[in-house]
Amino acid sequence: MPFLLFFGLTASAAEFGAFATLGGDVSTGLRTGLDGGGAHGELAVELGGEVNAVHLGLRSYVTWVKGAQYNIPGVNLGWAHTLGDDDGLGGYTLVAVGGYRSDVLPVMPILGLGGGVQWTPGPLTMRAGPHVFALPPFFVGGGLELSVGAQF
Amino acid sequence: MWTLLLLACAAPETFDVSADDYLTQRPGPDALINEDGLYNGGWYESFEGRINPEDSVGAAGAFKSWLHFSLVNDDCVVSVNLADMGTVGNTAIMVLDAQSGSVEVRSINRTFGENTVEVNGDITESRDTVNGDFIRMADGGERIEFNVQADGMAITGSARRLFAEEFVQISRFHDGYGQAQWYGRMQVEQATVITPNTTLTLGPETLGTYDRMAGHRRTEQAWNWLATVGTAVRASDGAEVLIGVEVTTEKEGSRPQVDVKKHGVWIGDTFSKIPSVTFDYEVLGDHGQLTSDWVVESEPGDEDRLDLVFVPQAVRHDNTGYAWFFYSDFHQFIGTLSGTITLDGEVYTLTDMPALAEDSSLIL
Repeated sequence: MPFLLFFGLTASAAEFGAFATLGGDVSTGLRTGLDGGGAHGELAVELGGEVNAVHLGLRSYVTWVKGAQYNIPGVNLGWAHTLGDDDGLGGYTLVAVGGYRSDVLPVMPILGLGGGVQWTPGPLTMRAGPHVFALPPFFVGGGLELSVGAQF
Repeated sequence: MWTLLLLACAAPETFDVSADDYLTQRPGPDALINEDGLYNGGWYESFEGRINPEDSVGAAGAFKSWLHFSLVNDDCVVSVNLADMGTVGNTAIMVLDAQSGSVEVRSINRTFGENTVEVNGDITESRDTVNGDFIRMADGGERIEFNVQADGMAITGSARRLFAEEFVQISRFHDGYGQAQWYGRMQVEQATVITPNTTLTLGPETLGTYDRMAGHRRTEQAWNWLATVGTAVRASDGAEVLIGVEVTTEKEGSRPQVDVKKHGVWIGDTFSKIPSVTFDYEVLGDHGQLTSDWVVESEPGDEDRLDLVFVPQAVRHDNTGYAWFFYSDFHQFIGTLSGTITLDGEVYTLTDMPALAEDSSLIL
């Protein structure tokens, strides 16, 4: 059902883009001091106008803490805002909150905030910039991510 | 940036508690937490005052409580835990075959709203409010009753308390952190242990340890623990004497390091502190699962002292955690304890007494 809604919204939007994102990050437990490091990735679509869009993604954090690997997948929902014209160099911001699977919470909310440079070489849209994520007061993390997408 | 943030919030590396004079036993305080929001640290004759964690200046989420016991006979070791760790409730049963070294363990963690373990206000009963599991002090603390199940394993039965006096201490840490603990020794009346492979019936030949705990636990903890109960020989007249040993020392990794002198012995009906105890052993193997024999001794010149050797025979290693939330590296050893205990000029000799020991760390 969520996928039907997902694709239904995509099909009905005035404009949409599809993005694949990869990033690397470091993180820490705010109460425990347990440090982590890893990678994250996302497949997402953005629905809306040229400047503001709803962001819907399937995102996963893969994190190593004290030698153990944790795969934390979830659904990410947010708001993307772009600056600059479609054909040139501009910027973007992305604010999102996700619901993730974990062993400590049935649904673990993670707040994500990203931004950076966006440019459109030909049919592609490229984004690069820092990304931070957090579940206060438990953990916070940050890193860099790169997105490749296409606007339709 | 994260490092700076953590340093700003971190506990101190060490914390001086010499003012609490943990070698002098005093009457118990009226409350766990004083009017300044700090723990009333000390070694007490008893403590039946108010359990008032809400008055602590420590983080409310750090408050945990549990009841735990271990049983030992020549054939097996059983360790059982019902803990309310705040965000996590833990039910655990471990049965170790002392002959083969094989271990069966069930440890169930239920988080946040699914945590159904509750410890009552005076820390005499830990209960799972859904399935009815319990560990409780009964008959005014003279007996211990238990009925705990965990994923195909179970234990039910009762025990009577040995020694009239419990070892009761409130350990004070930094900034409203600390913990009250009641330690005792017990003798099984009857108990049934069910594992996937067998059903064990335990009787009075089985002795054990128990402890009750309530407090604001430190985030970073690392410790050695040694506990036993059994018969020793008194040198002056050759009499066999029931004796209990309880030793906990801080390891590198605890923050802050606090010397609360949790080491002593039960002889007769009283508990007496041993002023100093150190552990000396070598960790063998890549994962620290094996060790050399442990030398457990007091500082040279101490009159009341331990001169013991713990020989590990089997180990349970439990390395668990979840990402940034918690981490534990738990090694529990079953083995034998031999050597001498000297108290008030009398020497007691232990020979191959079954004992439990731990080398563990925990980040909460």
